[in-house]
Amino acid sequence: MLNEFSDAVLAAYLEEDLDADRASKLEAALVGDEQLQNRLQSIRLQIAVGEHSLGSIWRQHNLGCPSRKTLGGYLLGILPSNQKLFIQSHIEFRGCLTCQANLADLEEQQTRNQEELTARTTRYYKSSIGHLSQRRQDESL
Amino acid sequence: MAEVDKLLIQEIRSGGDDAWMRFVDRFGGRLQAFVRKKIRDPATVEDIVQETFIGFINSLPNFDESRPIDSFLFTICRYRIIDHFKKTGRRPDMSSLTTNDSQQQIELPDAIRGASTIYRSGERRRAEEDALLKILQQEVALLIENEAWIKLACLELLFVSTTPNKEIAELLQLSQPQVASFKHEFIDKIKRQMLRLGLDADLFPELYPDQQA
Repeated sequence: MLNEFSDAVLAAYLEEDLDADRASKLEAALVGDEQLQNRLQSIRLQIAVGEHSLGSIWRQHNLGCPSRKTLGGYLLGILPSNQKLFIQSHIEFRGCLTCQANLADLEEQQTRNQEELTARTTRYYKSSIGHLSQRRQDESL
Repeated sequence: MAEVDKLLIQEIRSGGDDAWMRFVDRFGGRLQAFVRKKIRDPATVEDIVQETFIGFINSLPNFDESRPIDSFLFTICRYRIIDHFKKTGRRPDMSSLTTNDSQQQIELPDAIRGASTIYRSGERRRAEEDALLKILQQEVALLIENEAWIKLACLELLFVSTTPNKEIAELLQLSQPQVASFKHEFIDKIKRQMLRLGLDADLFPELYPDQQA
């Protein structure tokens, strides 16, 4: 898990890189904790002027994130034990949202029926294809 | 970018509606799963994914094909989530503090400025962060190539999550001296590379753990 309310956690919160549960926990702790509020404000200012820590740079650029293919191997349980432990640490303890999303999507592809997945694609397609056509008319893509 | 994605983008640009359908099919699920990690309301999740696709269409004329699509889409998606939270009043508005003028200095309390950053322009800072990113990318790639998975997990927990050494040792079944050794070895390596490139390592306090409170 991310160290509770370290500067790294506060920066991840401000950059929407904490999941809903962790963000809610932090928001609850912020109520009435002036010191925590001040720390959050300091980090907010640092981010606002474009200063990033080594940890933020690492996180924002998804360094070390496994590929979808590797995540698929993780789901199937076919990776060597040390690589498996790295992915588990990356997803559960470091809390990488992008990899959590990719993993959830891969799991869903295995468990949800094809009709539901097609219906979802059709919804997104219908709600965006008009914009794409308009864009093509307006300018060359 | 993967060759298959490059071809998909080329097809979309040349007017293939089928290609757009394939694009939506390829990325819709992971985007939806990503937003669900932040927002529970299913209707809002759908809206944000739709807005992400529309945001992608709008930025397509300037899209840099050397960049991975999914990372680009997740970035758009994250901005849409930030907008949503701003609209609903759940997050502080950071935009009022940002500036496009890289030379403009924003007054910060001394306590949050490192001495060496006070007179440094945003542009210079960005160049130094870009250089650090390249160094980190090389180091992480090397760890992956050498299959040094436990070391990589340890460094990620140390620097990204700032997890205490003791906890990391327990999670990864390492001794605390091993964790400390990985940390110092990595810091030395990064600092040496920064020095070689004439960069100022002082800008990154994590590289000076002994001076941190």
